[in-house]
Amino acid sequence: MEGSPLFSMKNITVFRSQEGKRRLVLSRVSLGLEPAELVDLGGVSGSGKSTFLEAAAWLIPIDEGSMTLQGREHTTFAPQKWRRKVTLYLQAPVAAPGSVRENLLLAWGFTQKPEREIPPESRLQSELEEIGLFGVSLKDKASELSGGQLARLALLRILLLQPRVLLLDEPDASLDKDSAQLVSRRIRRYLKENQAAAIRVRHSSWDDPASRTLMIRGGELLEVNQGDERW
Amino acid sequence: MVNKIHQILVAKAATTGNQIIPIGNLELLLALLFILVTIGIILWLRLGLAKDLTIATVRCYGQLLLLGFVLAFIFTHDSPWLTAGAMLVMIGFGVQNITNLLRNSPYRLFWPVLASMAVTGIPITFAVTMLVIGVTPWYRAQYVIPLAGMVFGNSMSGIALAAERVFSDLEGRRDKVRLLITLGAAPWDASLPSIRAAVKAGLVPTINRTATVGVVAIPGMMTGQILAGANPLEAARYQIVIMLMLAAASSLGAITVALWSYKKAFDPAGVLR
Repeated sequence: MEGSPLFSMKNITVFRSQEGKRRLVLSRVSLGLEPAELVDLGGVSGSGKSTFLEAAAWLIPIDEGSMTLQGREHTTFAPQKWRRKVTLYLQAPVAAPGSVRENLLLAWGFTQKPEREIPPESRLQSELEEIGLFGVSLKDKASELSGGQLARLALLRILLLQPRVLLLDEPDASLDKDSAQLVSRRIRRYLKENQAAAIRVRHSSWDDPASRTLMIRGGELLEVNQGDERW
Repeated sequence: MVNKIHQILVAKAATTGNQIIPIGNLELLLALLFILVTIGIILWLRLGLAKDLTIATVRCYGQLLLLGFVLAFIFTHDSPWLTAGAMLVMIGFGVQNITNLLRNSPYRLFWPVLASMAVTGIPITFAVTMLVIGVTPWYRAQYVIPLAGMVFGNSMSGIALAAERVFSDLEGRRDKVRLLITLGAAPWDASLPSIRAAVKAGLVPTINRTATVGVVAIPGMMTGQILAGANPLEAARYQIVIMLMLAAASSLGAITVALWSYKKAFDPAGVLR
């Protein structure tokens, strides 16, 4: 659609039930993302960053408001299809049973298979190396990887699905500085090549600042101006 | 060889009258002596179970005598309606028993449980009475009701085990389920390992029992038939049919309830609640 952003959220409101009480977590939150755009999302812990990403991935019920992808309302998608296009990287990466290969190709085992063909072995192996997973074989057991290796495996697993929007919940949480840089670079290249967008919550921010930084406070989404104090 | 045994048994049955020895009222009360001894031990050890055992004993007398009267009534008034009614009552009590066992579950499982009981129990019962045993008329209570009782009892245990397991397994796999959902998995994809675990949980006791039947003890129905004067070989044939029927009942019950209920753990957007 002409003029509409790649991804948008309009007046998204989310309540969460805790111990029988309804608590407002997101209050009329709006956001637009352009192709190849990377946005950082900040806020103190418990402010609702993860909830925000979960809402964008349609993993929690959205009480009010709407989201669009390429001009199309989220309710016109099957939730599973939406999640494959607006994909959440989980804060605590999980290894599925089986090998590294099986983990990377997890989604091809579902009833609804990804639209693209299964990537060839050579592509998978070179992807592993590019992201710094040297010495990890596709046949290795995923459960035997270290936390940092698993985090990168989890990112690759998502990139292979070619989502249009990446929702990254602390992809650098268990990474050393060098690996975090490799991951940042891989994400940047992905966004550019696929004209995709990303919202990123960072564990620490050494380098590679995003073009925009947003912040959640009191359930509202605020734009942080350049030069402002870091959160 | 088998024929010879059969001849001997037939001859023996003719001399003894092939009759079950009745238990009179006095003898029925005499059986209480065992319980009184047990209650004495309970009181002596201060186990605090004397009241429970007394109530259990009274219930045992009451329920079984009542069952005897009801069955005697149904058998003498052999009618398809009475047989069907008795089966409905069995299903009702079975469902109540299962939902009571699952009362801590956050999900409402009444309909899946009821459906699983009916869909597995009724066809299996009639497959056995009509096709294997060839009961005529098809509703003959003397055959249909005891067999239906065994079938429902077994599908009940299979259903209860599977219905509990499918949800506890999903809960235990919560992180993995969540991962699969973020990658675009449907509830079915994310639940499959839990459904497998649930069906397995329903099946394993049945497999064990089928494999060990007759090794330690004579199975209940065979015991009954032998006490009633039946040829043990005939009783064994019946028991084989029954064992396979019961294996089918509990495994089909487990499969049905797992498939029918797993989706309740997911919200309309396909996310684990």
